[in-house]
Amino acid sequence: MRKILSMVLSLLLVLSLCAGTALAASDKLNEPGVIPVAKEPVHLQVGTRQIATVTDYDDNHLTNYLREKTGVDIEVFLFDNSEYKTQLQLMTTSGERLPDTMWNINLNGIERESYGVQGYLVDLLPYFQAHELTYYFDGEAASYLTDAEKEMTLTAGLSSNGALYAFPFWAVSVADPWSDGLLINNTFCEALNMEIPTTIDEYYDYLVAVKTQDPNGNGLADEIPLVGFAKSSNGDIITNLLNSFLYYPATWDGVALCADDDGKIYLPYQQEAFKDGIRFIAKCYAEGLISDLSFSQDRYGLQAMTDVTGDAPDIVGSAMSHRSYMFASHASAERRTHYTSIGPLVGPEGVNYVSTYAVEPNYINFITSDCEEPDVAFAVLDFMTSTESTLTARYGREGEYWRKPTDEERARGCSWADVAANIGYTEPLYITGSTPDYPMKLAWGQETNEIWNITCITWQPQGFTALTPAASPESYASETAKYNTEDWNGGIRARFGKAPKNLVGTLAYTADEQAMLGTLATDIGTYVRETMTRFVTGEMDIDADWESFQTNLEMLGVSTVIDCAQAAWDRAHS
Amino acid sequence: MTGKATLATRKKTSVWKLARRRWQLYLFMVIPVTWLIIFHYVPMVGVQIAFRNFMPRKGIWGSDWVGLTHFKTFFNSFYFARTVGNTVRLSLYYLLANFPLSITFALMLNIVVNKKLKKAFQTITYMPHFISTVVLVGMLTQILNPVTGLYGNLYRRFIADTYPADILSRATPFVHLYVWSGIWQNLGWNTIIYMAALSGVDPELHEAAEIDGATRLKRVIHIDLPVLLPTASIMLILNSGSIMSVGFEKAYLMQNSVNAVYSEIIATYVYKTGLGGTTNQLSYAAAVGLFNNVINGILLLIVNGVSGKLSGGQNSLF
Repeated sequence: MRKILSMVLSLLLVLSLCAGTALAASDKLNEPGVIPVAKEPVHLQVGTRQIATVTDYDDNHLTNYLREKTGVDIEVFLFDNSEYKTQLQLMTTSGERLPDTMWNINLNGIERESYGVQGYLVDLLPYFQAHELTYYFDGEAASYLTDAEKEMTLTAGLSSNGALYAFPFWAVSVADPWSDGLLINNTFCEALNMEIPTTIDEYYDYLVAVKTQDPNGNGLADEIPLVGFAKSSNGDIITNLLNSFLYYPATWDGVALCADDDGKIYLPYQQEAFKDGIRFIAKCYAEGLISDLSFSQDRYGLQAMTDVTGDAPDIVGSAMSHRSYMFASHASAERRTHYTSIGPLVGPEGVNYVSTYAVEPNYINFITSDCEEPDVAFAVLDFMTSTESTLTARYGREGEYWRKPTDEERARGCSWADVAANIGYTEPLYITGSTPDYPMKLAWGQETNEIWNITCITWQPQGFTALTPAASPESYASETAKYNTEDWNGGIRARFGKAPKNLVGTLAYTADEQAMLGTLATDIGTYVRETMTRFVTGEMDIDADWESFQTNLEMLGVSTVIDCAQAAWDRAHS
Repeated sequence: MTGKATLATRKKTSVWKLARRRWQLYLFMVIPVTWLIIFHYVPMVGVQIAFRNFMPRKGIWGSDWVGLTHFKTFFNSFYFARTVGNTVRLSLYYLLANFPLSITFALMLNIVVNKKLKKAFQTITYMPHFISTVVLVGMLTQILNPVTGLYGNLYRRFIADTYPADILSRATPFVHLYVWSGIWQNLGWNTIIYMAALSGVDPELHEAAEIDGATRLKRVIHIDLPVLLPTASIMLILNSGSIMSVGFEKAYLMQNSVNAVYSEIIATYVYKTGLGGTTNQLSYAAAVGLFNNVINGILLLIVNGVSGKLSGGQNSLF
């Protein structure tokens, strides 16, 4: 009996393999793993947002690289970088033909499902389940994922109807979720004879000292104790400081959904600890310790204050920022060494969270229903998950922008050894920065014709970004570069993992829930951001106006938002 | 009965005859009328999406009819009172400040005797009108920056050592900044129509008044101002018809989380919910926009009616 069963099973297996190859070898495509991917030059229109630093999309190295490796005749269709959603909306509304595949079109879960259900996007789940066109995705790419990440790669992108309307890509470095925080001016600390603060009380004393004791020694009270910037969680003083009192996720005007350890959804601005935090920040503001520019300027405003040249004295005592936003060239700016990245400040009750977010793949690359060769488009996306394509798309061509490590570098191990060990790697795979005997070019963030300057077409899960060689003292181009890298890594290590167990990521709402939610999330997010700022600037009082704040939140429909989120959370975690 | 009918037919034929005789003029009119129909009347069919749950794929006619649901949602929403209040506040303030100022300015320009000086004044005051809103707001942000801007540097040089308060991150100054930067930008431009009216004043009136011993001020009050009145009332009627449609760009560009209390107007809200935000509630946004236009229409009719009553039917549009 068992023999027959196993024979039947193996027969089925063989048959299914045959079926698989029969399908995969669809007349347009080569065998999996063979370069070029497509047999004949299929025409594929790729829609993407026009990034200002990319000088030419058509004759771009990455475009040509993909043409060569995939054998597909790629034509680039450019969306406006900021108005792309409106553009897409207008294109669909007016019945215009969409590009075959769209990359870096940042639709959120609701929009994705909305376009998908209306039939504009192809459901890609069957492709992933068939495992026929997923040579790189199932092979190389999967080897950089932890088991948990493997599991969520597809599931976290599912819409409420069970469809997967986007091709998932990972682009999260180890540092990304922990990269926002305070930078303290260490020259001021020295002048003031103070240690770098670690608790909220020490920090307060530092701010007062910066304001009153003229740490830059120019005889003028021109020091700004604390400044950040607005319209982005990267420079947001309020939510970052609140994390010494209670967890508040990184968001500028989102609803800021949180989940406790039992998976119960709550909102931070309905908690008692929120009041304590706001009281502290409002006190600092009232005493002139926080620059009010933090609520109106953008990051270039902050940069104008910190990235001063010549003999001009520092004026900023501490900045709330992503470290790379404070200086135009953050790796080589000498003045960058005046600032020390610190971890979250310990609050009066011992709370020290980092304002962060749930790490998830991005679901912003699509194949549209207008695509006549969805198999080919899918195979191209699959190829892009390969390591070589990833490095070429992220850095540029091999040898000039990235290279394989030397034996000596390999022997040093990985830069984030523990993260690499989690996925079973001990040796580094690639190196990107310049070393004294091996200069390397940098395309990222520059005016370039080498790459597209986007990460969503690269396969860089956290584990992958850990696979660069650990630094040795000789590997830095200069002392400044050494300081900046070490300070950066120090800041990340001080913040790493300081978040609650459950973080609320993207939730897939059903059509009914979406109808109930409507504009609630936008309305609440905007209102909360505005009210927090007014609490801090003293236009409203956290104690006197608390009740009306809560009443307004109820009016705006917070309970509906919490209920829908709870339902969606429970569906995903059952 | 018969008399009336013949009167009507006679009128009709005469219009028709007139058109035949002056057909060239009517031919000229065909182009703007076609334009009006294509771009202003045909799109009105699309207004119905305010009463539907618009889905682009299903099209305007195929989307589900939901009646007044979107209007009800807006009227009950937290943002209803705020956006309507802010819109009315901003535009009334602008109208009240701008309207008398442009008349006064036109009168002042008119009595400048030196032709060259007059032309120079006019040109200089027109110029800001051609600055785009984006640039204007950019200028405001840079000049008013308390640390790196002109305002901050002047303050520290002449007033105190410390940095001044950041005007842009305060809620209340928003309204004044909005209105007065607008007046700076458009004052000269708005006087054009009044200058045209003033140029039509019969010089004999002035000469006669001068002989009678009227001072320059007296002549302005008794000759120039009455001449301006019909133009001014027409302008007032037209302006009140757009009270609810404050310029979207400027409010949106100047908006931040602190001044949102005053800067969230109907137009920015429509943009955020309809196109700019993450929600894409096109039907809802259309309903809010339609509501806005209906109020505009009603206001226009009211002001027109009042103006017609006061002037005995002379100074009104229809």
